[in-house]
This record gives sequence, C-alpha cells and structure tokens, in this order.
Amino acid sequence: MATDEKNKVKSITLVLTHRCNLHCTYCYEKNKDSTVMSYETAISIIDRELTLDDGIDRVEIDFFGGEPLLEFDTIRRVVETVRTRDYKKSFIFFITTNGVPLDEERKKWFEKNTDILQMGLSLDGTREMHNINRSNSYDLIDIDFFKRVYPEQGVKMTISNATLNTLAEGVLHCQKLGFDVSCNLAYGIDWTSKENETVYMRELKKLVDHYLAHPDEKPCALLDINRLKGVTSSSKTSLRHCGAGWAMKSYDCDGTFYPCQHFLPLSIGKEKAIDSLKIDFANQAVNIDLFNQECKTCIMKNVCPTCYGENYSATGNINTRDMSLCKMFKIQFKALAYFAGEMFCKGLLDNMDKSQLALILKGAMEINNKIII
Amino acid sequence: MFNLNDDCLGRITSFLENTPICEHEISALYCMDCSNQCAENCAYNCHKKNDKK
Repeated sequence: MATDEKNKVKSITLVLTHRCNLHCTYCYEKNKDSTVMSYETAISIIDRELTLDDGIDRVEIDFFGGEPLLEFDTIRRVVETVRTRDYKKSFIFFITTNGVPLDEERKKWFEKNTDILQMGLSLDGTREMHNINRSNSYDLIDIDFFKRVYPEQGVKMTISNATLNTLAEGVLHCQKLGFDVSCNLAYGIDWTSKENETVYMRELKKLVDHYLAHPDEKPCALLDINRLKGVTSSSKTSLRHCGAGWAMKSYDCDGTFYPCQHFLPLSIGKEKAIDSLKIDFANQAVNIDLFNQECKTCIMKNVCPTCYGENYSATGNINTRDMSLCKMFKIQFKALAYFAGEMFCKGLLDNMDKSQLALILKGAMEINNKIII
Repeated sequence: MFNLNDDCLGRITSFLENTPICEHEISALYCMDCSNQCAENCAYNCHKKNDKK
C-alpha cells in the first residue's frame, strides 16, 4: 500500500464475454469460449461494490473480455440502470476495446455517455504493425472517433516479437495521430535473445534521441522518467506493483471473482485459476523473503514491472518471477536513466520540483552505475 | 549505449549533494497516481481520473 489516499480507490473488472472477434498474436487468453455475463450478474456485482462499507470512495468499473463491445446491449443496459441509481461512491466505467465492433448507433450512444464512461483503444503502431499483431484490423477502426470523443485517453500499444523492429516508428505514428502512447512488451513471450536485446536498445535510442530533439512532445510511457523514483526505495510498500488480489477484483462471466484478469480460467485454465483463490496477496505480494534469489538482491526489485499473473502462470508462484522479460526491463531502465540524465544536463528539467527531480536522478545514477547491459 | 558521460554524471552528483530528498516520497512506485492498478496498464489508467459522477 502506498498511502491512505491510495486505498480509497478500487478497480473492478467485469468480464462480459470470453469471445473475441480478433486473434491477436500475443493474447494471453488461451481458453476462449462463448460464455457471456448476464445483465443480472453485472448489475448485482456493481450494486454490491458501490454499496459495500469498505472505506473505498471511488470505483473504476472496467468492462473487459474477450472483446467487451461484443456485449454492447449488456453494457448499455447496465450503464443506463446505474445512471438512475444513487450511490455514495463515485464511479467511472471504462472499456478497453479493439475498436472494431462499433457502428454509428453505438458511437452516438457512447458519445452521449462520456461523463461516466470512457474508452481506450488498443492500437499497436503503424498500419503494418497493427495488422501483423491484430488480425488485419487497422482499417476497421474509426481512429478519429477515439481521438475526438476520448481525447484524454491514450492508446495501448503492445509490442510483439514481430513488431519490435519498428517500435520507435510505431510509437511516433500513434503520437502523430494525436494520442498519448502507453506501450509495453507483450507478456507471455520469450524475449530472451541477443537479437531482441540489440533491437530493443536501438529502438529505445531512436525514441530517446527524438524526445531530446523535441522536448515539447510527451514521451511514451516506456520512457516516463518518473519510473526511476522507486529505484532507491528501501520500503517494502513499494514492492507491490499492482493491485491484484487487493485493490483490484476481476469478475468472470459467472460472477466468480479472481485477483485480476490474468488469473481467470480464460487465461490460465480452470484448475490453476481456482488454486489462485487461495493465495494470500496481503502478505505474500510484498514479502521480499518470498522472492526468488536473483530478484532479492536486484537493484530493480522495487521498480521491476513484474506481473503476478504472468509469474503465477509461468512458475506457479506469484513471487517467482517470469524471467523472460528481465533483460528487456533492464535495458528499458538503462535507457530511462540515460534519458533523465541527458534531459537534466540539457536544462530540460529545470522547471521540475527539485525534490522530485532529485528522486529521479538518484534512481538514474543507481541504474547508470550498477546495471550493465 | 545509454551510459552517461563524466561531465553529466558530475553535474548530477553535484545537484544531488545540494538537494535534500524527502523520505516520504520514497514509497513511490513508478506511477504514484495508480499504484493500486494494473502495472501493465499503469500510464493508461492514469487517464481515468476524470470521473464526473
């Protein structure tokens, strides 16, 4: 837990359907079927979550899938019902979508409901990159709709083995379209090869050079230097990297809840998913003594964006990290340290709060001096 | 690649020697706004703040 303030927000995910209209190359949901969540189940979960006396002030309700827009009728009924009810907790609905199942009628409805429902688009870079990863769907998306109706939402760009080679081009393409870009390497892929590491360094260097030359542009999330703040932390509270099993709940179609969407039967199979319900996240997720040996002493242990779900899927233990991304994370943080240092020395961080800047630079120095790539 | 040069390292060291760091700040994850969200979607979730209800 970070602070008391942080404890007041909760994120719940409602998996409306296991179905998807695309077949993305890196999708971690390997057990798709035709199961859907009923309106009654959805509304009963939301009613319960928004009336629970649990100290939470605000609930973010994510419609998830599969592709959630395949269950548009349920979304519309739920949102219109919830709008008429009076809850003490504030809330917002959010949908992560591939953007394809949207006709004009649906677009109009979404546009009318932006006050309580926001959408984020998965867009994997240039047309070519997106089509490689996401079933040739680039030209089926009304990108202008997302830019116009949800200007504050970035796009989620996932990098696969096949698109790493043009990562920088893809990021800059999405930024040119007018979006903030949150990009990440796909989980569940074996990234451990010298070739991947070399290409990743080259692409990150292109991005760093671009942002240094264009300081007015907001860097993509991969190069958000705030990530360096946690490097020097010795606090155990910073060892928790997400809200799985704690401030997040993921409800499957039948109403059963799991620590997050990575623990669903849809993702890891029924047997493993049921076993995951026994995990004591409150104690295990922040206990460094339970880390695997290599990670216990790693300088990046506080900032490594490990995914408990991927760890569990790959190793059967939330704390035994899936090491397939380890070297790539180190390369990313090495690039971040370089980027932060160069920006500081070029005077591009002069307007930043000095205490915050010191945290960033302290982390940058640690990474620069101790991570060898 | 990505190694800071000596001049830059010197300037950073000098800055850090003259700037106190508030220990309270060092509980931060890489994103202070959504540390209880999904790490994979960290920056993405930051944008959800504009709830009107």
